[in-house]
Amino acid sequence: METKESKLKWIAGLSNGETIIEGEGVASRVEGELSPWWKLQEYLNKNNLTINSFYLACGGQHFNLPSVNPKFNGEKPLGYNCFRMVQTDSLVGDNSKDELYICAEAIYKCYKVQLWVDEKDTLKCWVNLVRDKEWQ
Amino acid sequence: MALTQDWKSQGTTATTIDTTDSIAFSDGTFGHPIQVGSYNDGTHVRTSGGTDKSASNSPHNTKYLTSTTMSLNGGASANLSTLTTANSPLKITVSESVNITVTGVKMYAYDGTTTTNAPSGMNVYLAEQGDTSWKLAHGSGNALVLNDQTTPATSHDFYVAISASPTSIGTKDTNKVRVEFTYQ
Repeated sequence: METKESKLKWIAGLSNGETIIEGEGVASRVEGELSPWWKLQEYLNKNNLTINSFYLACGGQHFNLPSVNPKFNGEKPLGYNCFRMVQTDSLVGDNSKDELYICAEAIYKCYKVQLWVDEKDTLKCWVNLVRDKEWQ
Repeated sequence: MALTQDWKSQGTTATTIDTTDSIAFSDGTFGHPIQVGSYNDGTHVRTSGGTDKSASNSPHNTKYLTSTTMSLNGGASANLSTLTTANSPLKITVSESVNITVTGVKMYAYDGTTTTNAPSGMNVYLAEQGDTSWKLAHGSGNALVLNDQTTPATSHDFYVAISASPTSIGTKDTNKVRVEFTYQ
C-alpha cells in the first residue's frame, strides 16, 4: 500500500539567512540517503545554525508557525519539529478512511503549538496546543 | 518513492495482505466459526472473493490464553514474551526510498465506523513481539503502543501477535484494525 507523494513541503528560514526547502538543495530527497528532515538536522548541527522561521507550503498557500520575530506580538519558539502522520485501516479491503497529515511544531518551554494540515485536502488545517508530559 | 506499508501474514512462507484482503480467524479450519467465548485456532488471509490466500503458507496463529500467555500454532501454553519475530502472525513493514524514523505507532481494533469505538461483537487482543502481556486493543483510546524506531532507515519492521474471540453469534466483518504512526 503506497501513500501518495506529498503536495506539502516544509520551508525553514535559518539563522544565517538561508532558506531550506524540503526536497531541494541541502534537504534534497535522494534514494538511500537521510530524509529531508534529518538532512536539515544534520546541516544545522554541522554548521551550528538554528531555525528562525518555519512554515508549510502548498503552491501559493502558506501555513506559518510563529517565527523568532513573531508577528502579532506572539511568543518566540525555542525550536521547531515536523513530521507526517498516517492513519490507515490495513486489514480490510476498504482504505477510503486512510488519513495522512503533516504536522509542524513550534516548541516552547512547557508546550508545543502544532499546525496540522490534511495532505489529502490541503484546505483543511488545525492548530493544537500540547503540553509537555512533565508539565501535565 | 512515497511511503509504503507492507502487511504480511507470516508462516512457512509469508502471505501479503493486500488492500482488498482481510484477516480471517477460525477454529483452526479456514471458514469455520469460533465458538462464542473461545479464541482463534487459525489466522488466515482471506481474499475479497472469500478464498484462503494463505492456504499453502501455514500461517502462524497466536491464541490468547491468559493476559500473559498464548498458544502458538496449537502448542502448549507459553509466555507471550517468548514469541519470536519469525513466529509473529503479522509483520508490518513501513518503507521509504529515503532514511526515515517511525514513531508514535499505535494499533487498535474498532467497529469500522468510529475509531474510538470498540469492535462489535468480538474481543481483539494485540501484542508487539517481546511484550509480556496482551492488550485488549479496543478503540483509539485503548490502542497497543509499539516501540519507536528512531534510527533512520529505509525500512522498519513491526511484529505483532493478534488474537480474537466472538462475544456473540454472527459474522464480524465490519470490524477493522487501524494503525497510526508518525514519520520524518
